[in-house]
Amino acid sequence: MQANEMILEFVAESRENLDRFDQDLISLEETPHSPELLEGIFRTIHNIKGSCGLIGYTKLESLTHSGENFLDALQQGKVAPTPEIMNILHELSDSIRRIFTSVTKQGNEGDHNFSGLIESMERLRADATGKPASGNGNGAKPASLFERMGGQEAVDATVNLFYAKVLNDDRISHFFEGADLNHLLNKQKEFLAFAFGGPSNYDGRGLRETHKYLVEEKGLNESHFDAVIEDFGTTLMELKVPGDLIGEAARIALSVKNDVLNRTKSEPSKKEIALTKEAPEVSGLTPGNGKPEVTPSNGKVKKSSGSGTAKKEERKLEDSSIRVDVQLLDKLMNLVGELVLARNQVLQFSSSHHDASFMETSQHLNLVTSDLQEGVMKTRMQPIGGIWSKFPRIVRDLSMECGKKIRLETEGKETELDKTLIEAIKDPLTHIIRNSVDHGIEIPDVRRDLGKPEEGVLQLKSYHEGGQVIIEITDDGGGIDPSILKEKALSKGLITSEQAAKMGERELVNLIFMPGLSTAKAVTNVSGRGVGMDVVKTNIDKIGGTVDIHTCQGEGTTLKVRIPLTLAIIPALIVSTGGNQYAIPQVNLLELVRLNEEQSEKAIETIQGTPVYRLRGNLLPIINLNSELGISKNESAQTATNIVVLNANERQFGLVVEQICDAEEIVVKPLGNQLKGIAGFSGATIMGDGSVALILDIMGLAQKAQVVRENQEQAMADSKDKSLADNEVTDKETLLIFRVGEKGRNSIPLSTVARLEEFKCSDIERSGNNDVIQYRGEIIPLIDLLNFFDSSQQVKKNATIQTIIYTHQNKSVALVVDQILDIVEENITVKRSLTRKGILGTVVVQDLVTDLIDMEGIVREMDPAFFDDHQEVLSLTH
Amino acid sequence: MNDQKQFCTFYLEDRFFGVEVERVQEVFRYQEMTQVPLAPSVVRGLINLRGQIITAIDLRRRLGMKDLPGDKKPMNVVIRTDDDVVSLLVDRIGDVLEVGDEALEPPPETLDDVARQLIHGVYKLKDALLLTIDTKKTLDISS
Repeated sequence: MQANEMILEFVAESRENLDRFDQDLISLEETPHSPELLEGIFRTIHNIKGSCGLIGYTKLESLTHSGENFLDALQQGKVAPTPEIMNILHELSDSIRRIFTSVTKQGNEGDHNFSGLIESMERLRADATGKPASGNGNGAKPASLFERMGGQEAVDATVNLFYAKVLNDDRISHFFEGADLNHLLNKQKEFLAFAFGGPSNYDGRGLRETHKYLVEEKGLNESHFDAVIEDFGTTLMELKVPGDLIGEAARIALSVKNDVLNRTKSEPSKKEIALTKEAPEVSGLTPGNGKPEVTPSNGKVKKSSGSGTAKKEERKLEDSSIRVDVQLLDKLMNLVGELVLARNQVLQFSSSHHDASFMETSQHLNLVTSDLQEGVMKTRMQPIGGIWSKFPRIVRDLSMECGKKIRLETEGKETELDKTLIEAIKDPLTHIIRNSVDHGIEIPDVRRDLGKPEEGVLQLKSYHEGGQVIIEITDDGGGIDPSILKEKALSKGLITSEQAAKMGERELVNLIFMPGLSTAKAVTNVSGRGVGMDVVKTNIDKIGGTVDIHTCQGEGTTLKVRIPLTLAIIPALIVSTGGNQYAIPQVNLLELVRLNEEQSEKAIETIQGTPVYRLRGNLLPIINLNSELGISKNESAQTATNIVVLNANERQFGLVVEQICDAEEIVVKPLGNQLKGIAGFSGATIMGDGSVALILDIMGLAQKAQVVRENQEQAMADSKDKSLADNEVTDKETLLIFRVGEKGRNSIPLSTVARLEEFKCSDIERSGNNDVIQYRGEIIPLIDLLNFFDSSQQVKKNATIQTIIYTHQNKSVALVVDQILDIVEENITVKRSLTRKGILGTVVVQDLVTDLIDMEGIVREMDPAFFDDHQEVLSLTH
Repeated sequence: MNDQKQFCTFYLEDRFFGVEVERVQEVFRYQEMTQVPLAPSVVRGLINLRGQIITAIDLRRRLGMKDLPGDKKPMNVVIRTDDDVVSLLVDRIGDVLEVGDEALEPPPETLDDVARQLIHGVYKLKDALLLTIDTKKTLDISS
């Protein structure tokens, strides 16, 4: 049991290390010779190898062993990091992960075969080092330091790395300006080979001569020399030279100080240099008693070598964090929730007791509890960067596969959100990124032809906004062609042609979130995206988030994912209706409208029995929470109407509640299985007084109440307005939109409308062959438009009829329509003239085809005398 | 060898019921509940049980019995299932009894339909009949 836990611990830790390994690999492709990165990579594999030997995973061990050797060669500069090698390293990481997966799933290493990978690593290493493909040079223990350090190659590698360091060291790099570096390199290699006791033709003079100029002309002094020695020490440390060897080497290096600085004092012979145990009287590097005690932790080397210190601190940070089971945190969170409740009760109790010390204690309890709550919340927060670290690799692999050049830019990876949410968005984000790479960004040739840079850019951005985390994924690819999506959706039968005709561009683009569409290969190839976007949306919906898509053809696509900071605690508005409290997640909340008794009678109008409210000129459908939940109204003292304006999936609607209480942070708790099927509730929470309040599922409510389409159309009209701005010359006209028959969408200019009236059917009277109605002391004829357009249609018998009163010179006529839909101010262009009687033409209003009614024509048709000189008519009637 | 089982017992009217004791998390007095609109009528509401929200199911209604008359308050028997914690509302709580398998019989065929579904068996005790409840079926109110 314990062994098992240890293994899982090891796997979890190694996986984290592998994540960093992958990240380092990506960075390494940019800076191929960075010793820090190389060391990091090496260390990861080395650590895994070390641990797996302990557990007895032979396969993993042989894989990591050969990986370690390979990386060792790479680190020493024997193998240059070519793309081939990078691929092998990525494969190494994948293979190790595969083993880990088997370990966690089956409890053993699984039967993977990595001989191919191992072979290629060994081969590449052997090619580079010229050594047989097994065994490590460090293994044997020859006499001289030279051989112990790995012979001439090791020395060469050391010098190369050492020089790279020296040249980057601001303190001393200026000495190398204009110097023949190759010459210096060779000299240095010769010198070290000699100093470490290897075969050499070094003769001491070289060192003096080389540096003479520097000392005399450029003021090379002891501090510079120390800097060089520091760099040398760091180099050796990075090369994983054992501590005692570094000590020895450092001593040797120090011993040439006088040579380098061209000092004459106590010029030792060559042999003495190598053997001297009496280190010169210099600073911190001086080894204690000449014994090889100068270890990497030696004060001077550690303290002043910049990169060394940084790494030390990093390691310290790693040590200061521990791994905690998320379940434990959940439990802790629950306990804190209970504590908060208990605290609330104590506070209530204390306020009714006038005991000063008790009050004080409970105040203290209050503060501590709040702090504790915050602290526990924070333990669950993690930077989003954790999952982003995988994306460079995905982008790299995919773009290589597709033959594209893509640069991934990330911003805001430190944005924190709840652990469970991070897990939940991982897959959707990966999916979006894959889509962007696969379908969004074009191949280099196409991009060049379009005048874009060959390298596509994929931007990943995250930030906090209004208590939510926003993640934006932007590509500069081809964008999505809504018309192709439309065709595809039509051909798949996902939408009807009527629906399609009514859809705005934005709605069409949103079609990619439809389930059936996503599997269609052709759509994704042509339009850009779509594989499994429905899954993306479902997953994000599940955690209370939203996805928006904005696309601009030819310029790219942006997906905006909004997710709550945490699932556990959300800001909510508490309302009460029917005697119970309900919580409305603030994500859905737009605004609150309060109408006093007088206003509310007038302000809430009905269209065919559907209540609406005019919110700044737009019709807002109204849902009554009481009736939706089937609870009886609380009759007591209902003076005002409270409308909570909500947004569900880009549609707005108003929810009438009895009382608006307060905004509060609530702890979301799931509902039991028995209540899962009920639309309208997404969970429950415990209020400050310990009672339970249900959390309203706004989406569910909207769906349940079938919030009407008006607002959707409104949104489309808004977007249409913008796109129309630069269109052909148009007239801005206010139109009354109404419905005749099942689908007939008609309009007339509002200027021709006198009034809109509703009559009871029982008030209709007959006069001759016509239906008439008494209206304001006049008898006006009724013209049933449905009957007018299509006399075969049966006029439906409703209790009331909606009419448009048309008045011309004091004479009125009432046109009977089925439903008044909207009043729209829009630029209209008559698209098509029709020969149908009564129709002037067709216009597109709110993206919907709408007939423009020829009011005069109709009236004339029905009542030829209507437009005759009214004075005469009047005189006749008088 | 007879299997001995322990049952947490309770009453609905004069009927004597039992639930396997391992299933019962705790028993507590009546507590205020929050009603859930739109929920099936057997769900009486939600209870805050030390920070955990549990659903209260009216066992009388579940078994097709009449509601508890007047102002009498039911008791809560909290049942723990694999993935859920639910409270069963009962009239009053009895003792924990240990009974042997030899006293077990299947419920009589003449029992009404709903009850026969939910009653797992009948233990013939000396002075009473103990009806044991099939918790899984009882809590699955969708059926």
